[in-house]
Amino acid sequence: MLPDFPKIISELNNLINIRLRNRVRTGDPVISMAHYISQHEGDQLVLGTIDGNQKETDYKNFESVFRISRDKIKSLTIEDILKKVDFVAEEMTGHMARTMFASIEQAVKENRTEIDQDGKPFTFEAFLEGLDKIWIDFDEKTGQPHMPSLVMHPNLYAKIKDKLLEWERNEEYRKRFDEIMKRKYKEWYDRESNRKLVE
Amino acid sequence: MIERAIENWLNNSDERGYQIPFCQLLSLRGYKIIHISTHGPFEQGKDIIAIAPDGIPCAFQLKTGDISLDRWRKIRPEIEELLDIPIAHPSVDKSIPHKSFLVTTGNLSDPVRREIDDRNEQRKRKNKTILETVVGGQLLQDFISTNEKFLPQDISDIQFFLDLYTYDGTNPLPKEKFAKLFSLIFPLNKEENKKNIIRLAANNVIFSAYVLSPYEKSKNYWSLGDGWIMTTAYLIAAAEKHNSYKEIASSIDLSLKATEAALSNLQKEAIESPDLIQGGSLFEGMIFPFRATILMGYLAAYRLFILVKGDEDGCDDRVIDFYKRYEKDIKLFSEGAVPFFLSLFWYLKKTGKDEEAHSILLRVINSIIHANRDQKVGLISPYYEVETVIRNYIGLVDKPIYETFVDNSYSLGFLITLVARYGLRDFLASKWRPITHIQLSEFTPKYLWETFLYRAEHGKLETKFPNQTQSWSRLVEEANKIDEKEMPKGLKEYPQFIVLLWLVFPHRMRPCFVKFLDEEIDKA
Repeated sequence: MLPDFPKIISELNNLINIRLRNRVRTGDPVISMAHYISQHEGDQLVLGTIDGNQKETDYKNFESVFRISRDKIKSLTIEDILKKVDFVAEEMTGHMARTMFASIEQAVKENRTEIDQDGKPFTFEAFLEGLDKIWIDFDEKTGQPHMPSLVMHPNLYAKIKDKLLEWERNEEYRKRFDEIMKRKYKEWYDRESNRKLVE
Repeated sequence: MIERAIENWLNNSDERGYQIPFCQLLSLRGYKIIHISTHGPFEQGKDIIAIAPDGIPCAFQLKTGDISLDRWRKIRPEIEELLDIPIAHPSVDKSIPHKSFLVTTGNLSDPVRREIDDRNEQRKRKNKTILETVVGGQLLQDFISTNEKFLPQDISDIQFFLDLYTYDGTNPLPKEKFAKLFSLIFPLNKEENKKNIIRLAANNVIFSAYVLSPYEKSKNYWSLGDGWIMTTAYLIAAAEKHNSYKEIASSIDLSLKATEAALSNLQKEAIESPDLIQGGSLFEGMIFPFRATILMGYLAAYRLFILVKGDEDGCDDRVIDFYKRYEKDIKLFSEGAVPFFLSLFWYLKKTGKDEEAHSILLRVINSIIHANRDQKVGLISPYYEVETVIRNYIGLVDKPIYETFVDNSYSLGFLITLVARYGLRDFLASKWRPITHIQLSEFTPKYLWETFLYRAEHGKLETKFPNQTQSWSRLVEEANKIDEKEMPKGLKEYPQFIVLLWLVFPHRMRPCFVKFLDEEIDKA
């Protein structure tokens, strides 16, 4: 064997793994909001949903590969390695996010809460219709809504970002939004009131 | 190389250290062990009492090192007791003269050997039984030949064994490594004939004694107890898997005896400590609440173990005094600490302190709700060892914990079950709303024998939210129903062991087992 320093390599590998995991964990705003469950044993996972259903979940591999030729490996600097790792993390995060959105899409279809705009522009009506179809929770102490996150393609955001400001300033829109939120509050209150022990 | 390690172990063992492995050797030769002295080195000179295969009662006195003439003169009164005081045990027929053995890990000097010979001659003339001896070389050969066929052969396995054998015994038990050792000695993934199962189980006990010797030497009875609990659990897993409870009962009993001895010593040390301060480091304040909580849990669980086993001296007021002294220091630092509090709950109930017991149960539930709903972080799951939890609290984790714990609990399900069993409806009604926001997690091993493993290869992790609107009467009905199909035979054979199993494997607490143990404790 040629002279080597496996302990140093192993420690560096650990550091790289930590960076990779951190990047994956924080690389996507939606993924970073998710809860993480580790399954420490067994080979089957059944997840429960808030509406009382349970569903067996498939395990999915998220992986990415990068290749470095033998002649280039000697000249790799720490910065080069970190760039590669960050690239891998980005790929994996993207893969995870796409899988997550596919699952959400499937659930939305199953629950018939999908809104198909059929290629038409994103309007305030569509926004309100979306809000109307979902559960919104409120803070028990302040009564403030825990507003859901709105996820959209950057191109769409570029198109509507000015509109969002307009919608906020529009009195009539504000009124319609408040009405929906009032209804959502009542729905939430009713839901919470159902959380009880009965005879 | 392992042979040298065994030799080193034997040369460095004290009497207590090789007592259990020696019993295991006797058991393999067909002796029935009926008593092992756990309270002191000598009970009328007899450390071990056993019935030989021919039905003759035998008494053994264990010593370590060489026995010179000087030392012989000092121990002679004990040897005379060993020889002449009949064995007082209900399983022994006093009319049959017993055989006496002096066992030492060293050698007898020539003058001692001659004196024993002379005395034996005199005794024979008087029709008295003689003293037989077992010395170091013979013992070593016996241990090696017992293990020979099953010794780890692969060099990496040998290295692994040596790493465990030379581990710093002042630390917590490295459970993952310990579990791996068992799977090397006695793999459960293949079929074995009954004869091999007996030998493999015996090997498990003997190897446990080897690798637990650093803890024995350090008098680290917490880790030593954990090691023997894990050994017992693995043996029960093997018995369950191979349907061999009868065949390996003696190994399980020996492992339980070793567990009991370690926990008895732990209780003694904890109760006699003036303040539970260990070592006096500047950082004691960070460690102290963890130590107090662990000890409280182990002491209560040990008393429950004795109670469920059916011994009369199960209740011990000193354990309640201990609780009163450290009541303010104990804390629910993770879901892995829930078994400590539940042991205390059951022990308080068993000693007639129902009100205090219920307040412990409700305190645990309140803490879980608070951690999840108010603090919005949750409690670290029972899959994390105490050391990791401490490291996490003080920011010293080796690897970041990526798992999130908020709004998820492995314990809340069986705690609700207990609340329903004890009719604490008002409390539960007042907490039901926050409870319904917390997902209940439960892991069910696919095969019942995997219940006794550190990690089960097969099985299902299931999460579910409690019903938003829940019928109390239905809850009570469920809480009082035990599904026999979910119960491994091992829990019925050794119900006293469950409470100890949870101390070491808190992730094995499930509503069905909690209901079962609650009934067993009630009957005790």
